[in-house]
Formats: sequence, structure tokens, C-alpha cells
Amino acid sequence: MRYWGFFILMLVGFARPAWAGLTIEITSGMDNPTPIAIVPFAGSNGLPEDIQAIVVADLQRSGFFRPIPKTDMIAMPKSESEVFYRDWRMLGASYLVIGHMVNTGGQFQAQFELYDVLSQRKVFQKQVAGTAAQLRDIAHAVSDAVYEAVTGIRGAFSTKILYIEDLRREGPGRYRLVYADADGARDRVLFSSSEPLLSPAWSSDLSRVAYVSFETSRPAIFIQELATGKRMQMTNFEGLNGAPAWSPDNRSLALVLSKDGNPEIYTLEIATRKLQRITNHFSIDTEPNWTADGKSLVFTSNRGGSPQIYQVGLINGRVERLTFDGDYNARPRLSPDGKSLVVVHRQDGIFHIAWQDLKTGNMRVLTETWLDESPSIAPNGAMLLYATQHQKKGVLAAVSMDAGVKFRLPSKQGDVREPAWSPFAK
Amino acid sequence: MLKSFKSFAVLAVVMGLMVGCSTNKASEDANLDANANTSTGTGVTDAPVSTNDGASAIADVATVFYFEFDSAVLLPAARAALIAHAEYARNGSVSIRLEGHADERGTREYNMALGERRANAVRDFLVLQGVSSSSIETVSYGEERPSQMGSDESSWSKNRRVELSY
Amino acid sequence: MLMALLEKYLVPIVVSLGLHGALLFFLLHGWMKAPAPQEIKRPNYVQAKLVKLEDQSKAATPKVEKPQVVDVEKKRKEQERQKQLAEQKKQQELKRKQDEAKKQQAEADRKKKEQQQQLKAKEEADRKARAEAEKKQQEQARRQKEQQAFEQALAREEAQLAEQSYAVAAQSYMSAIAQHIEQNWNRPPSARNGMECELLIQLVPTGRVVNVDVSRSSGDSLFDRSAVQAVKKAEQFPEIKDMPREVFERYYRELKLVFRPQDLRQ
Repeated sequence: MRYWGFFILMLVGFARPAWAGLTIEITSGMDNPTPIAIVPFAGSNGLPEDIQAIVVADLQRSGFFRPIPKTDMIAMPKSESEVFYRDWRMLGASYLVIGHMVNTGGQFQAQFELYDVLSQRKVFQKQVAGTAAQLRDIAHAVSDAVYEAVTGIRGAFSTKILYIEDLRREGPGRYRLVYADADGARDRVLFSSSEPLLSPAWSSDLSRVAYVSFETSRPAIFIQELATGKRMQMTNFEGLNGAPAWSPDNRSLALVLSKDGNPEIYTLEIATRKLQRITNHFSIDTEPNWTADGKSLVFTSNRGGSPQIYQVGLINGRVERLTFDGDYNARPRLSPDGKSLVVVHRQDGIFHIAWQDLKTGNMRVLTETWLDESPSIAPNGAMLLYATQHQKKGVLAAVSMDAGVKFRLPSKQGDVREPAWSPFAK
Repeated sequence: MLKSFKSFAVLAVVMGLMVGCSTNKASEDANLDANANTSTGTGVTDAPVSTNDGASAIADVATVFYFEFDSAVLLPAARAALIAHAEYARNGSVSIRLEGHADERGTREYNMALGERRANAVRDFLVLQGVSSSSIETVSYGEERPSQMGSDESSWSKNRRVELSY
Repeated sequence: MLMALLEKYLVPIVVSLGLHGALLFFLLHGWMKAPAPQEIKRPNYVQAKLVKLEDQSKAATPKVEKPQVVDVEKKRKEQERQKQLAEQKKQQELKRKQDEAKKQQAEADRKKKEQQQQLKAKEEADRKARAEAEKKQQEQARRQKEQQAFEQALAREEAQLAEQSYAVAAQSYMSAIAQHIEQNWNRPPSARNGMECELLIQLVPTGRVVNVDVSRSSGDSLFDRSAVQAVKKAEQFPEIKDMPREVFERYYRELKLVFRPQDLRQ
């Protein structure tokens, strides 16, 4: 009975006087990129890498920020005491980043601070260190920290990408598997061949890459260790060997084989080479991609007449169709949170990258370029890399997942295609 | 956004038509098979020749067979040429390599499967004509080895093919 | 701006002026009537009457003159008669004088009485007048009170009308302010339709925001921060400057903002 009193007290405690004034409802926004001023770090002159320029490019490409040009800045503060919020407010900046580089015998340390100009307070103060060769990584770490503090999303500026380059001339080294930073810098060739290479895929621990190579005059799946370059041929079946996809625990590959008559999806246990058939349908079943829990695969199948996305449970084998919009949906990639799907989608005869919400089934076209393919989602789910054509050349392009900003990576010598965005380094 | 897609599509079609008109000649020159004088790229028009001459007899027969978009159905003209090849290869002394291809549109792995389908269609037809399946090797290159580099229907139609070689 | 204000308040002004004019007229007219009867009642002819009476008595005496006769007896008789007459006359005269005196006395008494009466009457009249005056005053007071009450009621109604107009005016500014904030609201990627946070902001008459507080969080600190930043970026609402002071004081000094997005894709 005494609890009643307490309960009543609680009720009374929560009772608040009703607001008698005017209430205005705000139900929409503009979501313009956040203006941010990145002041060149003190002590960064003469360094082989322009830290400020890298950070500006990172934040701009994310689509979420609008960096204020260096030339507009009337002051270049180096410490908090030199920050006059009103000046930055006048420039229109919502945030300000200042910092300085400390060089102690070859080891570089960037000490940087983020300020909220509107609320006039310091958001954080951090430092990151590295060697001269890691200056770009230092810059990307600054971008990551700023991005995360403002958006709440982990930055993906320090991640890597893989892609295939076709130099378009016969002979050895025509096709290359390339490894580069997420912004395309510091590219290096992992493998080259005179025969086609396709479908590069990262293991989730970033240690290995799987891909399809025609070096044996037929498509076969290979695994290569990034650290050592060591290669291992995983399949050598008749017919198709393609579309390798790593399981979340990195112990198996899902792949496509047509050895049994028509393209079907199998899983291959890497250690034991044990093969298990997953689909069993006379149609084309290809391009598998694992769900995060490792219990099912999404894949492309034309069992309904034209390519669409389906999901199959690895235990029960039950197949369920996921896409219904349009007459061509292929090469599914699940978002890191598993809530949405990105596909190659044909609309009015033009191929685009489209995004589908798995809960509502709503589909939204993300890209405006055509002949788009091979979408790869950033590990933070905020951006998308894909292959497209520009001036008769294959190039990579990126789009922010809310389809705000789009940009092209600098074009390379040959045709660049099939990007694969690495997972986060743990 | 839909507006710009539509205008893009119109632009693409117009550009395609223009480019198509200008590169028709070029594509004919660059064609791998000199015998194939295709106009729209949907079939082969050479007449089959008798099998008496052996190797020289099939020298004039088409070895590239074209397909409709997203389809692995053999076209009548292809059949005619394949009958000639079947007659030549029936005795089992030659091995045939069929390479299936697709145009660049769509996804790469799906196009691998499509190329294989097309190569299989040719193989199945040859087997029906009496060629032993063990002498036939099929490989799909998907869209990896186009014969035409353009991004228009005339190029694409040339890329949707199966190439036969001995 | 002044024209707009004038336009807005034209009808109430006309009505108010008309009612006030009518009242004023009524007041003045009432003053005119009250003093008139008092003037008529004032007795100012009492002394005049006294003077007139004395003249009459003086005038009366010389009139009695008889013609003379020669006879001695007649003369003696005449003399006696005359003596008697004179006696009589004397007596008459005395009597008369006495009468006169009496009369005068009576007259005086009467006059006194009259005077007293008149005095009384005057007093009465005065009293009546005073009473009347008092009554008039009371009535005036009552009327004044009525007037006051009437005016007050009028003023209340006017005030009510004014309040209504302020409320209407306040409403009309809401969407402009909302739009101003919406144009500055940059939602974080974690924002979802249906999230909601409440801010309490304080403004000054120039339209500048001088304080922002999160009165109810959405549960997502970045969402809350984006709302605060939207207000801070908006910084000043030019519409407030042009707002009538009464509207500002009643409705816009402190404002509650509810941020509840409905336009997000998810």
C-alpha cells in the first residue's frame, strides 16, 4: 500500500505546468552542406603532402560539408586564443578546424581542434601521429574525426578500394587489379594479366582479396594475400566460375558455377574446399552477396523472366524475391546496416544505380550517369562507388547515399571499373 | 531528377543515332570476320557451302553468330551457318571452341552467364546436328572482350555474339 | 507601415470617437438644464415691497380735507365740530396712527412674517435647491458612473477586439518564422521522420535570438544540436522588428519551437 504514495508522488513529480505561449512547428529542413572552415595547419609548409587540401577534398566529397575556400579566410588562427567566432560567423562557417604539425625527428604529429562557430565552443581537441609516408593517413584521420563529430557517422576516409584497370592494348599487363586509398591516391598494382580480371572482393579482415581471372583461358577464382602477394586458385570447374563473395567470418566464399548445367550459386569452404550447392533452378542465378549474420545470400536471378534480386536462406533453402520495380535489377549489395540494398537498375532503357529500402520496398535511383554498374557501398553506409563511362572511358564515380553530391575519381590510363570499397580496419 | 533522365535518354538516343550513322563503316572494317557483311548485326547472310571441300569449304562460313539483347536464342541465319560447321566437325577430328560474349550493358557477372548461355545454345545446336559434345569447349567472356568499342546499338549488336574457332 | 496600421485600426477608432462624442454631448446638455430652475426660485423682491407700503400710507393721509362754514354756532358748532372733527380727526388720526401703527406693525409683522416666510421659503427653496442640487449631483455621479461603466465596458470590448487582433497578427507571423528556421535546418544523417525535440527561445524586439534552450530532447544529441544550430544560424527574424509591440510582448518574447521532420526520406 505504501507504494501507492510513491506512485502518486511520481505522477505529481512528472506533472509540468502546461505551456501557455506560442508553439511553432518546424517540419522540414534544407540539409544544405554544412559550411566548414579548415584552416591550413601551422607548421605544415613544405611538407610533401598538403594536409589541408586532403581534408578539404575528403569533406567536400562526402557531400555533407562545404569547405570554405582558403582564399576567403581573413585570419589563420593557430590556437584557441586566436579564434574570434564572429569573424568565422561572418564567413558563414558553422564549424572551424585549426591545427598545427609537430615534427620530432621524422615522426609527425598533427594536433587539431574542432570548433562549433554557432554555439561558440570547442567540440574536441585531438592528435594523430605518423611517419612522413603516412602524412596522407594523418590527413584522412583528421577528416574522419571531424566528419564523425559533426554527423555522428564514422568517417570512411581512411579506407581503401580495389578496382580493375584495362589498358586496352593487347599483351601482358593489360588487365590489372589495383589497390588504392579511398580517394584514389597511392594506387599500386596487386596483380596483372593479359587475360580479363573481374569481381574483386575484400575479406572482412582486409587480409585477402578474391577475384576471377581468365589466366587459364577459362574463368577461375583466385584468392590473393595482400601482405605477401601469395595467390591460391580456388576453383577450376567447367563452365562459369565467378562472382566470389566472402562470408562474414571469412571462412567461405559464395560463388557461381555452371558445372551442373546452368549458373547456380554454391558456397565453398576455403579450408576444406568443400562445396555446397545453394540454388537449384534452370534460370541464371549469380552475383551472391552475404547478409551480415551469415545466414542468407542475396543474389541475381532471372527465374522470373528478367534479372531481379532474390534472397535465399542458407539453412532452409527458401527463396524470396526482393525487387519488383523495373524489368532489370542485378548485382545486389547490402548496406552495412542490412536495411537497404543497392542494385544496378534499368529505367527507360538506361542503367543506373538504385537504392531500395528493404522494409518498405521503395526504390530510388541514385545516379544520373548511364551505363552505371558495379556499385560498392562504403563501410559507413554513407557513400557509394560505382563504375561508369566518361568521355568514352571507363571511370569510377562516387555518390553520397542521399544522392546529394556526385563526383568522379580522376581517370586513369585505361578503363577503370569494378570498384570494391574495403571494410573498416578494426 | 526524372526530367533530366528523360532528356538524357533522348540525348542518348539522338547521339546513338548520329554515332551509329557515322561509325557504321568503321565497324565493318574492324570486324573480326571479314566475311560477315552485316547491316544491322542481327544475322549472317552468307550461304552455306558443300562439305566436299573440307577445310576450305568452311572457310567462307561465318564463325560469329549474333543475338538479340538479353537473349540466347539462335537466329535463323546462324543456324544455317552452324549446319555447315556441324557437317564439317561431325567426324570428330576437330575440336571446336565456342566463346560466348555479351554487350556491355548490365552487370558483368550476369553477362558472363549470358555469354555462356549463348555459347551453350550454339553448342546444343551443334550437338543436335551430330557433333559430339566432347569435342566442343565453351567459354564465356561476358562483356570482357567486346569486338566493338562503342556505346551504341550498332556496337552492342556486334558484341552480342558467339565466336567459333577450331 | 503606418498606413497599414491605420487601416487595421480605422473602424475601432471611428466607433470609439463616435461613442465618446455622443457621451460628451450628453454630458454638456445635462449641465445646461440643471442650474435654470435654481435661478427662478431665488427671492429677491422682499425689500422692495416694504418701501412701497410706506409710500402708500404717506399718500393716504393728506387726502382728508373738508370745506369751511361762517355760522358762529355753526362756527362754534363748526369749531366744536371742527374740534370734534379735529378731535375725531385726532382720534382718527391717532386711531389711524394707531391703526397705521398697528397696520404698520401688522404690516411689519406681516412683513416680518413674510420675510420669515420668505426666509423660510428661501431656506426651503435653498434646501430644496440643495436637495435638488444634491440629487442632481447624485444623478450626475450616477450618470458619471454609468458613463464610466459604459466607457469601461467599451474599453474592455475594445481591449478584447485588440487582443483578438493581436492573436490573429501573432498567428500570421508564425509561418514566416518557421520558414526562416527551416531554411537553416541541416539535419544529421541519423535524423528520421518522427523524431522530435523542443526548443525554448527568447527574442528581443529587434528580432534577435538571445537565448536557446533544449526544453525536450529527441534522444539524439546530434538531432538536438542541429535544431539549436538552425536557430543560431537564423540568428535574427526581421519580421519581429515590424511586429506591433503588443503582439511581440504577448507572444514572441518567449517562443517554443518543436522540430519534427516530415520530409526526410526515412
